[in-house]
Amino acid sequence: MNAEKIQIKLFAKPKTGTAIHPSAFVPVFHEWIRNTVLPELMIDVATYEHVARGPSVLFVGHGSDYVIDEHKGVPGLLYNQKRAIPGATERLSDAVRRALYAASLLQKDDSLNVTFRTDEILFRINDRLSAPNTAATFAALRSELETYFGSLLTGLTLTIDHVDADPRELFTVRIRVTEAEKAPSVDALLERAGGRPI
Amino acid sequence: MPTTTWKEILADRIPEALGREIDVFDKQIALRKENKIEEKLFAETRLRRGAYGQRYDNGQRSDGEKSQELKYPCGPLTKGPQTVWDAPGMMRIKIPFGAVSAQQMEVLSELAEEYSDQILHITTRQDIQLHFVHIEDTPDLMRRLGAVGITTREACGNSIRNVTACQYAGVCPDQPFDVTPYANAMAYFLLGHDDAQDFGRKFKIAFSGCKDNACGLTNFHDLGCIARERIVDGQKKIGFEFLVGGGLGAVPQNAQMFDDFMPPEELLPTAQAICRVFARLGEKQNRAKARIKFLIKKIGIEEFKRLVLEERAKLRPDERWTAFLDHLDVTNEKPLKAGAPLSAGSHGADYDAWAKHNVRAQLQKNYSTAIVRMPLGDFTADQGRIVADLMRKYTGDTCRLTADQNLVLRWVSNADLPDLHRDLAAAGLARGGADTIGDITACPGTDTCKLGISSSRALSAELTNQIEGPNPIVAPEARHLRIKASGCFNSCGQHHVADLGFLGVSRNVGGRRVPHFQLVVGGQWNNNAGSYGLAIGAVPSKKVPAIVKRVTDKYVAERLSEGETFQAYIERVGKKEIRKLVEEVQPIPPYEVDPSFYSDWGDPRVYTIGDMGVGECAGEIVPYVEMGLAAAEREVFEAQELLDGGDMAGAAKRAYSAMLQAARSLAREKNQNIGDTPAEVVSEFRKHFVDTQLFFDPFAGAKFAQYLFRVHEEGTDLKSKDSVHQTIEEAQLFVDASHQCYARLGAQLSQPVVA
Repeated sequence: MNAEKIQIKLFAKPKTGTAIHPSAFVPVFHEWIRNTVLPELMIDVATYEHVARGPSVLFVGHGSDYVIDEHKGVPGLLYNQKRAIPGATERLSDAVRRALYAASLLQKDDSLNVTFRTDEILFRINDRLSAPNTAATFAALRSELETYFGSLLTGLTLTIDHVDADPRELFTVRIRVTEAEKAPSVDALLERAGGRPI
Repeated sequence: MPTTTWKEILADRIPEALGREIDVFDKQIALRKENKIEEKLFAETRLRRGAYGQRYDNGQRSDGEKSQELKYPCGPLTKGPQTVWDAPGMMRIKIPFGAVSAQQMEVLSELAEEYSDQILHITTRQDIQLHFVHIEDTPDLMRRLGAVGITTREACGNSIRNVTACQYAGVCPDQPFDVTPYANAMAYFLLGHDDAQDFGRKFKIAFSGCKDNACGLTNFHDLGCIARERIVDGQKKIGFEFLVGGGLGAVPQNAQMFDDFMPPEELLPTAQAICRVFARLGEKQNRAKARIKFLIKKIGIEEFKRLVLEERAKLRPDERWTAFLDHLDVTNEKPLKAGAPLSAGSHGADYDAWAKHNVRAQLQKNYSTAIVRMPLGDFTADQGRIVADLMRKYTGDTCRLTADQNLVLRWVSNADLPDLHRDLAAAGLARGGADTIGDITACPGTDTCKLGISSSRALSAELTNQIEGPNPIVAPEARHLRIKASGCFNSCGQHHVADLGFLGVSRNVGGRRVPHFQLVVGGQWNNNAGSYGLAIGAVPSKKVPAIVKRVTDKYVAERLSEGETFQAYIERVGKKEIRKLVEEVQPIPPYEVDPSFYSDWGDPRVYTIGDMGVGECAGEIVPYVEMGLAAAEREVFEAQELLDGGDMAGAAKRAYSAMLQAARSLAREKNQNIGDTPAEVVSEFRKHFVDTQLFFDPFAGAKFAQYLFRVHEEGTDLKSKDSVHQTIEEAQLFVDASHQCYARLGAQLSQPVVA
């Protein structure tokens, strides 16, 4: 994919009860820095819980950010590729892989009341220059997205829709598994995506 | 998909001069990456373009147990002393008097998403800051701002910072006149002005529409201008109370009166003369004493005034001093709708609660302003777009950022207020209680600032939760008080001028570092920050909510009447009484019993001050002449690039421009009034450096100066590539000779004179 700065959002739900507490992620991310849990340079943790419907907790890295994100009021893990990897063909798969790996670790953490769904994934490009939020961009990328996600979510029926309610927003595509109950687990999907990123 | 660049797309939308400045900065980034610009010079260059350092940019970060190296891919490359190239930084965006249009808000929101962390942060000086920005993204970021009329130039560094003004200017019932066009004129007159390039520290200017209220905060600015009106010979005249030498920081100073009624036509030349005096006499070595308040304190206001007026008399006349007076309507705002009264009847409890503190009647009948509370000064890119929509829907495209880190929508018809509230609520932006005790101002503190000692933001968030949550710690009778918090003594959170101020400090307890906040009480926000508070004692961070409760409860219980202000109460009962409360909350359990006191709010790591870095507030001292010579050198480089690209005419012109730049940089050291025309530059250079033989090379004599004179006389219409190449070579030699001259004569050049 020629586009750089890919974002992947995996939607979250609480393991029990109704609430996910973003502040619980703060010590986890600090611990990840201390123990170099992710295979990339992570720098700091910033909290924005005081802001409604935003990035509640931001795990800041050099090449990527990981965000406990409540954009539009829907909680999830947003992976944000900031400094694109050089190989254009690997950008999308790398982004998906890193998002799934972080999600897998988070949902295994007993201090967090969170699991992640795979029946719906948001794909965004955080770069209005290369990817304005237009039908033309969608037309240019649709085939590539269908191929990649079709392979990742093999055997499932997918819908791939351009989210174009506000052209000022980032170019966004929603990938949905039609039969949600058949969607694989995060770990299964991570394995298909290539496992732990390098 | 498009494959072009922002530079190409926006080329015809960016003012030419600004576009050129950004291209130059882009080039400087490339040169620094090739190690062709010294790091100190690059640091001051980027600071003057608003690109600031951020915590951990020295490549080290404590993980709570030990300091870890952050191994950035850039290796040893730096963007300033102890500042790693790849480390994310902060971008400060100047917003003169806090005025933002809907289109600008949309672009700011885009930039927050694409280059930062989705968050826009309003500062206490009406700027917008974006954090976690990579230096290599900054030129495009600047271009996109430039295309909507925003510059980041001189947002940081030793320069004239954002010119601020009361957010109600133009709509305030208390004002004699609207200060906005004067603040606007001041901001753009001094932006990049030659006389404002040689400061030892930053210089802050504020305008206020009235003397009694808080909004302009002129009392703690280097230069403050308060709108005044007088009857002179039976005629109503307007002017400014003109104050100098105020400041916060570790040593707060009240501004002193320079002129109690300065006519508008003297505003800009007097400010220019002040800049010259500050540049000439201000401290350059001891950064802690380099603000103008120290100079004024040292020589006295009368002597300072004498020097400024003497300088004023020598200034070369500039039509800009008064030209703006013919266009005072340039900043006028037009309401979208005719003002209409609020409809009768109930608009709901939520609306009433919001309107009680967030809505204020304008000077203009049937219009109001509405404060949009932005907790800790933060809002998301999505919210920015929503605010832009609301500006277009209700206000006629006007809003102002405030020093309280909120946003004010102006020109809202009273009839629209309930609908506006409903729309704000839908975006999570209808928080009430503006300008009350839960609406806390905080600097970035340890979140992102290299100088932060304690977490002013996390403390403030916690206090707001405890004050505005289901079990408020502050009695309703004390809700009108204000809290401000700074992460260190530099006072960016303006803690000196709050009823309850907190500044981050650290203390040793049982051999361990514990985050604390010094309590400062009784500061005055009103009267343009009329007086500063008293330091009482340090409180452990985790005990700050407890001290807020105790102090406010004591005030409510002991005040003589509802009319006794907090300042009056503190003055009456004295520091000792408050000190007793502090002493009650100071003890904390040992680490082994309760380690929570040994971490700061919002950060589970064991507290350390080891992450503090070298601040960039003071910038780097790079004299004007050195900046000019560096610019000349860059132009020679660009000339070579143009020639390589086949643009012979452009290359020759750029080489000539490089020589002029170098000559002017030197000549200005002898004559501050020097103009920009090539003829004048060459003439002044000849007079001061060639006729005097100061420029003469020990071996080559006047040879290098002749290179400039020849191209000046013969022009740059060169016929062959070889002749252009020769001119570039000569330009490089001329610039080198200028450096040599400066090195030889540095001491003599440090005292410029006015012809």
